[in-house]
Amino acid sequence: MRTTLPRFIDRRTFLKGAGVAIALPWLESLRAAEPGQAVPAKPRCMINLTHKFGMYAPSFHPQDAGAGYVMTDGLRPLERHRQVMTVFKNLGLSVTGGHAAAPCILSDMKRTEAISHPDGGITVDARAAELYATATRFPMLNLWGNPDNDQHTSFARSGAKIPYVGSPLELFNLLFSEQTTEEKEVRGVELAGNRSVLDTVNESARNLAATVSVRDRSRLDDYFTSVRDAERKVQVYRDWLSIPKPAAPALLGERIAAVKKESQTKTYDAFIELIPLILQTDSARIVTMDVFTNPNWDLPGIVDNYHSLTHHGQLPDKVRQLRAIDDFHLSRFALLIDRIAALGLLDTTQLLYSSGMSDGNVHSNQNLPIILAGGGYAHGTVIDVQAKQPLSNLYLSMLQRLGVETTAFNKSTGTLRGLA
Amino acid sequence: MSARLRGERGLATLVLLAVSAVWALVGAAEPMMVGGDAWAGFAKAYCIECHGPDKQKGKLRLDQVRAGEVDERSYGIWKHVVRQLEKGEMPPEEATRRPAAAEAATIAAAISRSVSAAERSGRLHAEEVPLKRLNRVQYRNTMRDLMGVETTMADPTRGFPDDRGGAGFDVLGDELRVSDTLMENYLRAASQMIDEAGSGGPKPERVYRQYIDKSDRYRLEGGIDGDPIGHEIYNHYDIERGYWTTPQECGHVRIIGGTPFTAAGWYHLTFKVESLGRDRADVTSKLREYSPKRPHQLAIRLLSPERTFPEIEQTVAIHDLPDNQIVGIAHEVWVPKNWRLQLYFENGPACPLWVLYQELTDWKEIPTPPGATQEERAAIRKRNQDAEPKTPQSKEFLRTAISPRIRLHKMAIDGPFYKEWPSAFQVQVLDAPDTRAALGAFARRAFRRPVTETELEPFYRLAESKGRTLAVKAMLCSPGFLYIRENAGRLDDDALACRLSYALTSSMPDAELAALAAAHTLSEPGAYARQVERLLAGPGCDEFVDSFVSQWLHLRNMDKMPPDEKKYGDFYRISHGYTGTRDAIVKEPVLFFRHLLAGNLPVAALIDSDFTIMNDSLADFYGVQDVDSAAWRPVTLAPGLKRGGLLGMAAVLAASANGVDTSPVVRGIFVLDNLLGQPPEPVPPGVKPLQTDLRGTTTIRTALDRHRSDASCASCHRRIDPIGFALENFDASGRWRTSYVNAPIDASGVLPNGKAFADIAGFKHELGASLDQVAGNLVRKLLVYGTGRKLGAMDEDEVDAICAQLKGNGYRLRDLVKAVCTSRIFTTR
Repeated sequence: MRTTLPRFIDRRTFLKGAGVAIALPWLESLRAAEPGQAVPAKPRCMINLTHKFGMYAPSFHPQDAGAGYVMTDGLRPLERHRQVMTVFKNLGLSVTGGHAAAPCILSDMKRTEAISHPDGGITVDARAAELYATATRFPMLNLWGNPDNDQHTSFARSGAKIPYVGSPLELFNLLFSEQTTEEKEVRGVELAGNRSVLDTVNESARNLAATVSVRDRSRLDDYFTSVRDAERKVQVYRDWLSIPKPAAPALLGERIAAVKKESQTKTYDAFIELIPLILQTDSARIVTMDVFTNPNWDLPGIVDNYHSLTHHGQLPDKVRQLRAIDDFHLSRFALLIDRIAALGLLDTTQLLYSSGMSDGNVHSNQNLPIILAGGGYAHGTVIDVQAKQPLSNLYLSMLQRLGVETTAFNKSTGTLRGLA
Repeated sequence: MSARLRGERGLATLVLLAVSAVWALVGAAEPMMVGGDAWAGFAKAYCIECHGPDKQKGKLRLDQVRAGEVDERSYGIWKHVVRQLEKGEMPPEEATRRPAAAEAATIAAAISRSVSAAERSGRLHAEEVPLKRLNRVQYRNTMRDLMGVETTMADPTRGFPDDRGGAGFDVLGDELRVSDTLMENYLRAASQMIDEAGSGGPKPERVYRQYIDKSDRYRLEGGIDGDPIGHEIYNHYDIERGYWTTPQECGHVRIIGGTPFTAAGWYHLTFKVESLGRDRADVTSKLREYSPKRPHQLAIRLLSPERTFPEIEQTVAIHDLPDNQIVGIAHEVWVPKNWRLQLYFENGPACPLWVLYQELTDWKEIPTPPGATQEERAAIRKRNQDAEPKTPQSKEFLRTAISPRIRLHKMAIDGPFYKEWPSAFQVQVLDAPDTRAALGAFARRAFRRPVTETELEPFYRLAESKGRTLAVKAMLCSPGFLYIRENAGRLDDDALACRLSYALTSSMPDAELAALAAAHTLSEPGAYARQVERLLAGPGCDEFVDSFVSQWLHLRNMDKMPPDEKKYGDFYRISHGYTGTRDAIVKEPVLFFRHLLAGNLPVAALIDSDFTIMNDSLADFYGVQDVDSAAWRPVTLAPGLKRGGLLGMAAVLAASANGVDTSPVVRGIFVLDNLLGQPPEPVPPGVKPLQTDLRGTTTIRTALDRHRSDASCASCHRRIDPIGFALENFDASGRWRTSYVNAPIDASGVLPNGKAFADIAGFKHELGASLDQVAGNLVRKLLVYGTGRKLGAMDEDEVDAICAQLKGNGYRLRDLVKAVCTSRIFTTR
């Protein structure tokens, strides 16, 4: 993947950021743009907020499609954003399998299919991240998540999992915590050593490849690819090592450090507070938050295990609790839209809310709760896809909007009709 | 379509693939005609209606294969056709036209002749084992054995991405990919291991630190600087933190004021402890989540200095303590630098201490009246805080009250010391005078085979320019170390040693095996079989049993969808330690398998047995009396208990549920797939999922009955559902139950062969007739696990031969594993 040019960004844009007291230094985009290169004013960004347990279906989807739809109870937390968002109906995964299929939400491909796919079943966020490659400190940030094998949602082209940043504190440290000069020196020596090691193992692998069967040689392909990718990353780390990180807003670190990981809602809130800062500091332009499937939600009135609530069996008390959690998800998505809008980035930032399961009680992967906000689309409507277009079409539309030059993504048959 | 899609279970997957791919490839083989025209006529008359262009029942299409032509891809179809014809199962009885027995026999014999001719021609090849990289467990163990370091505490593979499991196992070459993330982890782990294994620099000083109970105080004091350590482990007040802890954090001691583990090394840990208060029924009866039935347990754990959630910890040991006497405990353990020691009252009362205090005194919290002002609230809060048992008086009260407790009288930490200093790695690899010789010898071990000068050249050059340490690091990140390389055809001695060692110990060959391989004497008659015996009897075998059984039975499912803590509290019984019951449940099938293996017992016990392996936690969960110790032992089961065999084990029952409720369909498929090796076809598209509605009286059975009245569903569901119904008496945590929320459970069913059963006992009785399938399935699973490739139709004959050889003696497990390890499939690539 070619590195794209760092984009030049109007510094004032970021000073408008409401709720953040101090101006953050603008990093690599302060470098002068190459002459003759057309540069967009703001980099286009993508945020995915996704989870695996679905939404209570009877409350979620509007009855009617089009701009005049009647707001449902389930969508109420997003009411103020009606004009900047689109709700999709009858849009789902092509893969089946309930819990097993839910993690395929960002690729619409099972890992078994992905192996033989030319793009390796890459997920939409990783595909988007290829656009910017090394232009930001992190090609993408993949937050929270379940560190469990079968629940992973973001995959690179190679089939490798994009690792999770597991806690708000870890994210804070990545964004803002500067290493000491000594630590940087040690790290610099280590990175230089790693480069030599990678050169050597590459040569050693070539020697080996010359002596093995054709089939084994093809098995070594991903070794060579990994070495090449790791070399590139070593270079990126070395480049970024000398560039200082932005300063954190006052007291933010203390607040984040105080968040207990056991608290689902406080952790959720901390991430929702940090995500706009990722964009504001241009530390990454592609962010996925895959909500950790914590069984216990510290919300008033929630006494049952979340997973058991999704198997509500229509029992009123369980439905009430589940609805409260559903509302929490959407209220935080609404807050995220507010904050991105306050930074003046809503037109250039696509925010996608999704779950890989529709209603947990059915364990179906059809008619999923999916909402797209921002990104400069003509919003304010409900698009009923009538199960006639694959989810990949939506992703293709989003990638093109982002600026990725491609006409296909995984199972796409075109861009999503009705979305403009 | 790639060859790797070929299913190890042979037919279902292979046939599916063959439908689209067979025609193009069949043409390539030289035809071996044996009455091809006869087949065409026969097929047209009896088969094509259901397996032709219009319908492809069972995804099988027979109009595009010719009887005379047999290659790797059509081989499985022909074997299937012959079997069906010989058994008279196809065409089915309800078919409009059926051949006479003689006609079917003639055509079956003709096809068999073609197949045999193809087999004899030597042109058919079974699937080749792909180049495999070490998986996570193999990597860790190989590092341990190669570098001579302890990896139990500081696991170099922490942070590695999980290995993707193909066919249920994380050993399949085609599934084990490398990524840049993994490569970065290899770089980090190699440095970490070199640091641990090397002994450059001065030898760390050995220090003896002792902490003694000054019984008039709350804390022990001692150590070289008089470091205070926590307090008597009697309850849940954490003096170090100064606040009430949650039950999960309860009752532990940790050393404060600096770690005594200032360098990685071996340490002696000694303790003098006393268990008190278990006999005080007046107190213990008031405690929630505490059972005086079991001796108090002291858990000794080490925690990583890294700030993570949950914390990274390793349990050194859990001891049952005798009552009211001071006992000594000693451990010798490798501790990484800066780790922390914690002691836990593992099965202590889980209620917060203030509950205990309230129960034992007249202290009561003052409630805040509604409508109180902010000042009033603050005042009440203050009074409550002052009254909490953290005042000297209340602390004293709790110290002297005879509540259940473990008293720590003395603790000593002595170390670090080293079994060799400088380490063998330092002397032989890093400090040896001749760089070439040192690296060459290391590479021979690290790559587990002879290494050529050409292969070594890049590493020498790196050593010359950047130092030997970096060259070693490069070796540990190179494909020579990371991949298991095997020669084509029959494995040579080095490759065979690796194959066997990784299968049975999840690590590189040990010294004895490596020496035999190096001397080329491993494949001498008897030598290899003796090594199989030796490894099966050795300690490394636990790795094999644990890894194989937990993957075969998907026991890791339980971590993904753990039983709901609120609904299935017994699963997490605190009186057996916070994870005591859960851990016991997970261990049962592993130890059961180990028991069958050690005693060479018949695998029929997997279907049903009159015993299982139990400890007290598991006995409590099953409601079995008279098992009072934490030690695992075989226990004879009372006939009415309905346990025994894999299907009586909570682990299997919980792993085949989703943590919240059970589904007969999911469990039925689980048994068909994992026990019988006969997975049903995937769900056809457009099936409306079952919607659970607990408000009415609809049970899952009535929902499925409706479902099965649909002919397209029935063909599979009449195989699946009865199995699941038989297991409905077990809830999602594996507990016995007799009713749902609002309806009694009916666990009866009728199998496709017409046999009816009333409950799980009856079902297991019927399942006994499928012993051949269960044993055959186990042989296949072990072959997949051992070789790292899927099996295809070409392997079926040998699987049959292995089974035939074992059947006479009742499929004894150790014999079975040995037969697998000495089979042609296992010993060739």
